[in-house]
Amino acid sequence: MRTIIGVMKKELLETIRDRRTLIVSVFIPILMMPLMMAVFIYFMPRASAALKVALPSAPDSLGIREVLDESPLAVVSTPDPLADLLAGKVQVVVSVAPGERQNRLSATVSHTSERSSVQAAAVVSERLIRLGKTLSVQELASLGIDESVLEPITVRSSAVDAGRRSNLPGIFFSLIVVIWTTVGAMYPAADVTAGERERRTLENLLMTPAPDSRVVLGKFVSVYVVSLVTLVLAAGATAAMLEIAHIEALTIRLGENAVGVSIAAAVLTLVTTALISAAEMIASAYARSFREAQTYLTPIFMLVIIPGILPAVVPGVIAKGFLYYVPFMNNTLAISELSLSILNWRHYVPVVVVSLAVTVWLLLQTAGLLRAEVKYRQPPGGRQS
Amino acid sequence: MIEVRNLTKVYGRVVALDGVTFEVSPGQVVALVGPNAAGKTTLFRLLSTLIAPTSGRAAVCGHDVVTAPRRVRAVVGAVYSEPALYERLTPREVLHYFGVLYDLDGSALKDRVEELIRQLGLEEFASRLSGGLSRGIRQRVALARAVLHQPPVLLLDEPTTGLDFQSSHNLLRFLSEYRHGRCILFATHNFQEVSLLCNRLLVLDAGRLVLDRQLTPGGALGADQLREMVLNVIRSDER
Repeated sequence: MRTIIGVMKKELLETIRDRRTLIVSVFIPILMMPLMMAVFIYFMPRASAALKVALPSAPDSLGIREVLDESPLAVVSTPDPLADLLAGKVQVVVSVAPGERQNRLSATVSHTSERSSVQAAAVVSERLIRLGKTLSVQELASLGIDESVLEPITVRSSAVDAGRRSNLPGIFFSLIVVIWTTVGAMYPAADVTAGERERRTLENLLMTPAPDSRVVLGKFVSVYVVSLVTLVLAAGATAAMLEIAHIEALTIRLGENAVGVSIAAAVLTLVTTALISAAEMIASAYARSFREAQTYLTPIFMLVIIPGILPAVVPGVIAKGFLYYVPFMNNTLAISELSLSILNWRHYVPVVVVSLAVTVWLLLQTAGLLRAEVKYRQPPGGRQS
Repeated sequence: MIEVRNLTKVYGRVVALDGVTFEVSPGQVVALVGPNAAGKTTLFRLLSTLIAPTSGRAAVCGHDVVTAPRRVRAVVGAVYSEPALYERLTPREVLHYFGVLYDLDGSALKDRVEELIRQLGLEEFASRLSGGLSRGIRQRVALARAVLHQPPVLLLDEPTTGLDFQSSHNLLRFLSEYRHGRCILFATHNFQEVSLLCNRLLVLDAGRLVLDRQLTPGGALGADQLREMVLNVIRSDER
């Protein structure tokens, strides 16, 4: 244990004194995530911006004006509603006129093909229908009739396969985890393996009686810690931006099993970070220089990013059970599923077990690879002296 | 302390060591001399268990380099021409780190590190980052790292290469004190160092041991005579 802790402390000490690692693992997540979120907010539909409703004529007594003047709608006065609608100054025009029957009204909701106008028309229609239903209930109550006559058949929809649903928050957060874990581990993984070989300190290390497995484990823990710190910083910066910007589309809503899902997500994040750190270490361990290691790390980056994007492109892919046994892909799928507040043990357990098994296997291979490199490759220059 | 029998190492079609046999006893400081590509570094890498022999046997303090590599590593210290320190650590941190790897305990390790810092005149530099130190200082730190666990066998592969006169002198003085009861295998191209420090001379040429001779440190054979002796035994095409 002393060896593992000693190696870990030394690697962390070197890491915090390495400008490259500090920039990539600390400053970029802190600065880049708010920047990315700002761009996202700029381009996303302005849900929080008021959708202006022109209401040329409406009887005050029914409360139409009140329901249409609540956020995100705002009733505005305009001398020429139709012209303003076409000019984009208002998003919707609501014309209320007497209906065909006595004491009944007819509302026409006019909109354009602009996205915000269509959105405003949908909100206006939904509110007017709801108001109409409220008025009907009141009218029935005055006549002593139960409101249930309005709904002889109750219909509720329930998605039993949530994976097929669009899960923007899940995809977003699984990408946050895999991207920042990968980025965070990249420099320290290369530094503790290929960096040691490049600086020719690896031979001194391998000449000590410390078991290779413990040395590799100590190095792994340091890479793992840096990777987690990067992820925490990036996730923290993202959460702060989401809190500030109130981005509805990216909000995760935990269901009844909030505690269980949260613990499962935390464990899965730890396991995923371990797997990615181990994968980056073995790729770097094969390299003879820092630069060569970076070349090998690019495919690793792709390996973890593509499965993260896949569910967004092919939503049905998430339902394929065997994919929960495929390393790397299963991690992003499971994180995405947990984001929907679904804890499916038949999916979750294989992901954790497979990830841990692959992590251990990668670390054992890394230990062998570090010594094999010294054993079989000729020293720089190619000649023995 | 060192026992080498018919040791051979082949890299592809290159025979780096070819049936080398010798023994080194406690108290011996053995100069290992030979032209470039003679097999000196290969021999050191074999004895420090970084590589395995193609055939033959090598043992250090009775431990076979193939079957008991971890035991061999515990009794061997090595310094190469390139100090290879961790540039973002101070010498004191480097020594503490290797002390842990050599399984030295907390207080004993601390005392040993401070003792070596004093012995090798590193007090002024012990808390500076190694990356900013001169080659001479770095080589002193590398030597401290190699003797940290007080190994009975010390392998030195051209440790004075690139050092100024004073740094070389300090390093040799330390070694002359460290030698007692231990054995030192010292690869060098500097015959002055051989005549001052070593009591035995091994000459390697094209992977073969071509001369094994006892010497008297500071004795009758000076640097010029030693050079002439070596030139007479190595192959003519290398001269």
